[in-house]
Amino acid sequence: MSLPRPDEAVVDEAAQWMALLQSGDVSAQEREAFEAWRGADARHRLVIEQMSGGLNVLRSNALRGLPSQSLLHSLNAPSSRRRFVTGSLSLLGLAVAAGLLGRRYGLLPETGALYTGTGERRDFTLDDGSALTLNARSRVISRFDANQRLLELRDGELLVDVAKDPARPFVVETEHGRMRALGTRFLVQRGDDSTRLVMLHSQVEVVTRGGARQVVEAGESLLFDEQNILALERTKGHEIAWTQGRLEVRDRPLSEVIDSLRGYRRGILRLSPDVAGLRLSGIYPLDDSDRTLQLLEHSLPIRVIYHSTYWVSIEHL
Amino acid sequence: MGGHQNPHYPLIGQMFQKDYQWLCTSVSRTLGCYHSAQDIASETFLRVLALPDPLAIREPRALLTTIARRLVYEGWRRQDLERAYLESLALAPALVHPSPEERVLVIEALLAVDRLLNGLSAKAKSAFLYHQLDGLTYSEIGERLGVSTSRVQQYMADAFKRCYQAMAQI
Repeated sequence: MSLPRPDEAVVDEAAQWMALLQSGDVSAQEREAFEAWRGADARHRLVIEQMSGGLNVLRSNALRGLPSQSLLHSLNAPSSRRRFVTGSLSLLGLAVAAGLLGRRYGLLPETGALYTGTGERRDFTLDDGSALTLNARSRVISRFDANQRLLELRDGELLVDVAKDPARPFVVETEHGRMRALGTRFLVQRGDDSTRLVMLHSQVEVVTRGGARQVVEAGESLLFDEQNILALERTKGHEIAWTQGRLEVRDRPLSEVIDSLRGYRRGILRLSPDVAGLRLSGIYPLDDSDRTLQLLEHSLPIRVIYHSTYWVSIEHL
Repeated sequence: MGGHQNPHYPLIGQMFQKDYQWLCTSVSRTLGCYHSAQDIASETFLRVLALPDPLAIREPRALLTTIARRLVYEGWRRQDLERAYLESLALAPALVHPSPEERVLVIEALLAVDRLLNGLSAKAKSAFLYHQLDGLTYSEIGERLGVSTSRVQQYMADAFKRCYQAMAQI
C-alpha cells in the first residue's frame, strides 16, 4: 500500500523545483519540464504534495493579522530544550531546571505584561510616552485608562521617567503600597518583604497598604512595607548603576550583592550563611556574573565552587 | 466518542494498566512535579492510541519514554514561543491585543509553524515567511536580508525540503 520512502536526491530535486516555481520567474519550458518530472514517478508527486502541505500550516487563521516580523521574533526564541541539552545537564540537573522553568513561567502572563528574563535589561516606551527600564527578572503589568496610568510591579526593579500628564496621575503599585506621581523620574525595587523607592527628580507620594503616608523628594530614598514607613534616607547615587550594567555597592553585606546577581544568573547560586554577612564595597559587571564571582573571591575570604555551570555555591575559605 | 471504538483500545488498555504508574514516576523524576507528570503520561497514551499501527510496538516502555520526552520538550518550546510572542506584542503596542482564547490559538499555530521550520537558519526562515506571508519577491527579500537573489532561491529550496521532512514525520 505504501510507497517506498523517496530518497534524499528526489527530495532535493523537488525542493529545487518548488523554489523555482515560487520565484514567479518560470518559463513555459521550465513549467513543462516540471510537469514531466512530476509525472515520471509516483514518488515525485508524493514529495511535491507533502511540500505543498507544509504551506497549509502557514495559512492558519490564527496567524492572520500577525505581522511576519512578530512571527519571526517568536520562532527565533531560543529553545529551552537546546539550552538545557547542550548544557549537558544530568537527570538531576533537568529536574532542577524544570523547577526553575516552572517558577519562571509559572503564571500565564497577563495582557499588558512587560517583563525581562535572566540576565536581561530592557527599555520600553509606554503608551503615554513615559520611558520604562526593567532590571533582570522583573515583571510589570500596565493598566492605563482615562483616569490614571497604573503600573503594577510584580517582581524585580524598574526605573521610570514619567511623561507629564496632569490629568492622569502615574501610579506604581507593589503589594506593599502605591507611589503616585505627576511627572518625574524614580526607581522602584520590589523585595519580598518591602519596597524601596528612590527619587531621582521631583516628588512622589507613597501610601502603604496600611495607610501610612509619606512624600518623598528628589535625592531621597524610602523603604516601606505593607504597614509602615521603615526608613527615609538620602540616596547614595549608585542605585541606577544597573541601568548601565554595573552593580555598585558601598559597605553592603555579601548576601545583598548575591541577591542582585541572581537576576543575572541561571541556575542555583547558594550562599553559605557564615559568609552572608561579610561586608564589601565595589563596582561589578552585572552582565558577566562569572567575572563578578571571581572578583568577589579575590576580595573576600570566600571560595566559589562550580558544581556545574548551573550550580554554584559560595563558602567560607 | 464511545460509539466507534478504536480497534486497538484493548491492547493500549493493557499497556495503560501495566505502564501508566511507571511512566508517571519516570516523568515526574524529570519534571520534579507529579501532577504535570500525570498530564504528560495521559497525553502520551493518547498519542499511542493515535498511532497507525500500535500492534507493531515491540518495546512499549521505550516508545512511551520517547513520546513523553517529546511532549516535555514540546511543553517547554510552547512556553518559549508564548513568551516571545507576548514580548512581540509588548514591543508593538499598535498590534491589537488578542483575547486569552485567541492567544491560545495563536500559540498552537506558532508551535505548528515552529515544528515545520525547526532547524532552518534564521535567514531561511525569514525568506520563506516574507515570501509566503508578505508576498515579497525573491529580489525584494534579497535586499531586505542583504543577500543575492539566487541565495534567496536556495533558502526557499531549503525551506521546502524542511517542509517535506516535517510533513513526512507526521
